[in-house]
Amino acid sequence: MLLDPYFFAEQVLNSLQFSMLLFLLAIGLSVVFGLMDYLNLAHGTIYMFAAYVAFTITQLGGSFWAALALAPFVAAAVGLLLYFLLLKRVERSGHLAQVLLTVGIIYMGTDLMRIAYGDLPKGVAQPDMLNGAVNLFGILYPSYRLFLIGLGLVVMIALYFALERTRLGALVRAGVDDRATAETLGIDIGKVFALVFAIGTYLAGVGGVVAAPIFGVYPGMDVTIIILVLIVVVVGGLGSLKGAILGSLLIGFADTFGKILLPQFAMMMIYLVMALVLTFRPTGLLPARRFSTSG
Amino acid sequence: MSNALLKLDDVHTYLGDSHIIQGVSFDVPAGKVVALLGRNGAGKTTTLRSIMRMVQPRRGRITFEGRDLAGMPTFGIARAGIAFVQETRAIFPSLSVEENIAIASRKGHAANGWTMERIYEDFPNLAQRRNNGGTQLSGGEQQMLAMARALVANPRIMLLDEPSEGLAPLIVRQIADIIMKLKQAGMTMLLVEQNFAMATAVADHVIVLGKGRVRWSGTSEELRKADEIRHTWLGV
Repeated sequence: MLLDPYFFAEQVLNSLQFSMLLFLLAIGLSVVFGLMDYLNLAHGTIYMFAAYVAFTITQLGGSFWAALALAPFVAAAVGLLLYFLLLKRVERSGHLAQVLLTVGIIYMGTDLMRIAYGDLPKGVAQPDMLNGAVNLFGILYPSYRLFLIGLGLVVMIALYFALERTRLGALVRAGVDDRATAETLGIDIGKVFALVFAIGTYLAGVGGVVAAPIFGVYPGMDVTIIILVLIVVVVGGLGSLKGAILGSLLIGFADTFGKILLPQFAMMMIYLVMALVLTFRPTGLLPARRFSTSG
Repeated sequence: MSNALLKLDDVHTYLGDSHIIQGVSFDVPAGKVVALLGRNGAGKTTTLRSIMRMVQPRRGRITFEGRDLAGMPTFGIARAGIAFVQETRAIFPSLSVEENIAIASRKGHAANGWTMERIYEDFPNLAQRRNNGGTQLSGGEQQMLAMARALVANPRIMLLDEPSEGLAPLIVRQIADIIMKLKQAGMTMLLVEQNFAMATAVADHVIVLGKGRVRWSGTSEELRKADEIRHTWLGV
């Protein structure tokens, strides 16, 4: 069936669309890990939370666009609150403490959403203007999914310029390279980190809103995606934009094509990609920092 | 000394269980160059890292302009006016030469302000390579970049950790010239060196560290005559 060029092209577009969603979550997780060595598994909870906020906004009569404009900010605000109240306390306590704390937050987040909204999945309608399909060289492809691909590309380009061409970007790169030295130059890396954390949670929130019309909103949607996002980060390499982009594409394609070629073993395809990458490149494909022995 | 800009008073620092700095006290007077000499493992770098609070001293006081640095974060100490040029030079590989300097640039304290323009005038090599990646530079250029990065913060004092290490003799002379010029311009410096000739040429005052303690202190002239001290604690 892959020999049918129309079917193949459609699956490529589906892969791209899923890759963009993974990217929106992966970039925040990766840079936070790269900059502060912080493993924040509750990143997915923010994604789920934003999806519920979007659902609530549309229930109250707001449009999808209103939800897309507001919900990520609410998510970033809650993310920062979580950071200053809880996450910061185990900043220097190592990965185990961070995993314990953030997995705890995952459970609490899931239960809170369950209490508030029930077990059943909720829907968020696509915006009317994107309800149709676009004819792309003979393939009818849903406009909304094309919009997702475009949104992902815009975010990638914007982040590239922010990281490579702005002072904040240079501070982030310096912090990822060598945090201790950046501090000897008078740079408050803690403050840079809080800002990066806020941007990362904002983008996870954007991911939650745009995923809602496709996958629905349900308790546990965070765990489903965070596992894939973790694999993206590990495969791409920590702390780098290029790594997050490449990792998202690899996993997005492996997941989509895995489901077509080997429906029973779709998840295996992803782990196979990860195992292969880690065998030959233990630090991932494009890590920001070569993990050397020097401090 | 009453005009001490930087003052260490009975500082003790441990790395793990090792007692590296065992009660070090000395002053760096404003406008002077003080050299900290000693063999490998004498505790020179750990002394500088204690001042920057990259390691936490367990006992003792470090004051800068009369202000206790205890409890201050490293970036706060840098902003207070202490610049640290590390032995490894610690150039950021993901940043261009220009970005390496730009992120450190601050108004700081000095009246004769260092700006990017002035850095490029005084370090023409760096101007030529401003768009290069930080780690594409030679060792000597990296050292100059590390010093430039410290200067644009316009500090009151510079801590220099072995600026001559691993460099060819010609480059060492260039670095020594830069340090000499800074000294003439009134920059206060605490210089850690293995290069005895260079250190004693630029320093007003020398402190000899051995096994975590101050073993001797005096002028460069006095140290040249103190054969016993040099043999025992410096091996020269």
